[in-house]
Amino acid sequence: MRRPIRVLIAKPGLDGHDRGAKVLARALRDAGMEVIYTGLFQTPETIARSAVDEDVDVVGLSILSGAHNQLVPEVVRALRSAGKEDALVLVGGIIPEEDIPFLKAQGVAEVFGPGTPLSEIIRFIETHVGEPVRGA
Amino acid sequence: MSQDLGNLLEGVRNRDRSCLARALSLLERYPDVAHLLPRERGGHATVVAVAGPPGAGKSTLLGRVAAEITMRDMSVAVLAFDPVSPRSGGALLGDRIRMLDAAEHPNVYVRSIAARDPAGSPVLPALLAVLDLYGFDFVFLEAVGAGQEASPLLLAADLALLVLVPGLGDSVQTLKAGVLEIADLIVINKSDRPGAAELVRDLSAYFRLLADTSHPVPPILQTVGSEGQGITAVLEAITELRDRYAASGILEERRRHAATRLWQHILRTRCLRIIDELLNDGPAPDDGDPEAGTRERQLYRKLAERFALLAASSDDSR
Repeated sequence: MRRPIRVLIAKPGLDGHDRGAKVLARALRDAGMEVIYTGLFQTPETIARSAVDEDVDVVGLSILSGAHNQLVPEVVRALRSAGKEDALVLVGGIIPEEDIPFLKAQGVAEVFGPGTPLSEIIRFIETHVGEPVRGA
Repeated sequence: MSQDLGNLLEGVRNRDRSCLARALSLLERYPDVAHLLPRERGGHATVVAVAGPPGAGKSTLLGRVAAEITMRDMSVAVLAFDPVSPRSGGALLGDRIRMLDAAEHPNVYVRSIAARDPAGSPVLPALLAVLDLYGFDFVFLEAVGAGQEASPLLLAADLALLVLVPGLGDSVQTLKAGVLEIADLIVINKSDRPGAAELVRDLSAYFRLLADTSHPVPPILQTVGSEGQGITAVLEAITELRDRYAASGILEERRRHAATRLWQHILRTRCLRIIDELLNDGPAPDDGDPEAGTRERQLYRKLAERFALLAASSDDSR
């Protein structure tokens, strides 16, 4: 019996725009996934804690503040030190093209910019969930 | 699979959160591994089911109560049930966001669960056994609402807490044939709103009418969850009720019932798995198939063989 894919959607850092995160949360629900939405202003530790306790398969981070190069490595580190190494980490938001290789080297599976069709994100999750996490 | 659960349970005994989270997932995914759980209740958790209409503030209230519990150096787990989309089977689990502050504390474990089965969660007793094994002092089961869907949670718990809010008017009427009947404790949340005093009065009058019946009159408390008002009194009332029920034997009786349900659940899932295996072994016979009767008899014979095997092996399988 296959359990539905469990996804944590969180916003690390200080930007206060969660419209996109909420739209994605709903779209994933409509795709049959179980979505745990923890909202704005999350610290990397809180995100890691939620990911462990909820035993999610996917951690989706929405970042619009420009602090992604700072925040993403911190979240990935927090996830690892909390023993959550099996989750697919995705980043959405306004991320300049040139920062994407760095984020992927940190262990991010994919980065989705503004205007990405929701169906593309759903397909990516369905295809890659459960794959071993890359990066250092 | 059984190997996995064995290792995870060892981790749960050593209070490893990651093992706890994965053990709960495994049970949700493969309910029939529940027979590997220890049969006797190892821990001492007080299990409280929390029901109430959507928007009554159950999650916020529980976040506050959880924080209060940690201030007394005790631990607490919250299983927060949320509805499943009838169309997609997906779920947006939004209870955790109301308890994030409390959930950061090392003594608090919050788990969001999609209330997949209309009868609640058939695997709930098994989940409770795992939380008990971890050694939590309190376990809260947050129901989706206050109607029929809350019943399985209420039946699995030591105590039933009902959260109501002023201003819903007729909700008292609709609740009369439900949770109100078996509530051990009633909390009027959002008591800073108009109508709170009237609601307390109405409920008190309602219970006075029932005073002669066997169900004890539940204490009625007032809180403002978002402000943290009245929380200490809620925790104290829970503890007091637990102690009183323990002294009078009610607690033991409820736990015996819960244990019976766990046992029944384990047997049911094992039997169903065998039946499913055999049923999936070939297509359904066509209408008027002369062989249909023979095939059915064959199926029963195979079932009997499998059950006989189970009877012979179940002594040493544990």
